[in-house]
Amino acid sequence: MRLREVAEALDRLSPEHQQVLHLVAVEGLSYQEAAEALAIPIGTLISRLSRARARLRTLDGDESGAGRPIPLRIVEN
Amino acid sequence: MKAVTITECDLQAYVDDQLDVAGRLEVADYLVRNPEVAARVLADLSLRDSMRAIAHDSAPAASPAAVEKAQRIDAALDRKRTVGRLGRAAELAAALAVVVAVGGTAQFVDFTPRATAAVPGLVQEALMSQQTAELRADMPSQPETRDFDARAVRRATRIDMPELPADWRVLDAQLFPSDYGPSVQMVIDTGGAAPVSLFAARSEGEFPEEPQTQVIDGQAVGYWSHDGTVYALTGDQMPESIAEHAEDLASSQDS
Repeated sequence: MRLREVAEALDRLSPEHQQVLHLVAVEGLSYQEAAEALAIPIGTLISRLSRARARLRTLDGDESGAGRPIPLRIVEN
Repeated sequence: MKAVTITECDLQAYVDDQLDVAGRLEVADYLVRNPEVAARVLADLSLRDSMRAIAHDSAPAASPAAVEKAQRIDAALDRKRTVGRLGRAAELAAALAVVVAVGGTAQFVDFTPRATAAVPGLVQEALMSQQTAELRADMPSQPETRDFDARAVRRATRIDMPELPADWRVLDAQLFPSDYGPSVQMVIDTGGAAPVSLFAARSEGEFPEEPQTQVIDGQAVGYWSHDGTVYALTGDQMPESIAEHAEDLASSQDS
């Protein structure tokens, strides 16, 4: 269940963010290798990683309901 | 213990296991003293492990196109292993296939030229405004305006222009009428081979928040949206360069 939610959240990331996450977090490339493979500066790579993770956390929270408003409950006296 | 400044970069490197032992200890010590940051890092580690599990469980057979891309990456990385050519390429090919499979529409940076009809109308407006700016630059009767008052523009148009890097220089700034209402165009010297044009207009349409870069009629355009405004960056620069600039400008609007 958890993996499906993460997969759905990943699906909603931009291709650029999926690429950096996949090359670094899954493939285990060093920052230098991933930056060279994508032809971007290391600073840009790290910036993308940071923003991709921030976005993923938000989406993951939405999927799990953490980001949804809590419905009000009517309490009778 | 001597106080050590831990940056966002250090935290990312910690999650990605890119630090040496001393670096990991410094970050770990910082996390112990900052439980809120530690919770965020733990969430990132959990997501990383989930991604690895997904990749492990669903790696499909690599397509020839994925293998070719993987081989290009391998060449870029200048790996010269005799066995690695097949081994590493196959690993990366499978990985790329997973990106495609898991990500649905995910693909490697695709600067393939697109049919004009598939391009959002507002992006075409941006391209036209850039061509107009080029014409204006060659006409003495159309002087460029280098004074750009972001607050005045915001009051008049409700358009917030992103903060430019300190070393960029505004060459021209104009308000344009467009099908989407008043729009802003800035011509900017980024220090690159040619100036870039940044176009912005209010829009209620569906545009990605993350910058997307396409090549349209031989011209790279990076576009994204933020808070009801759509931005398009274009210019006679390499698509990779336009994509990077667009990413940096969009990043400046996150805070």
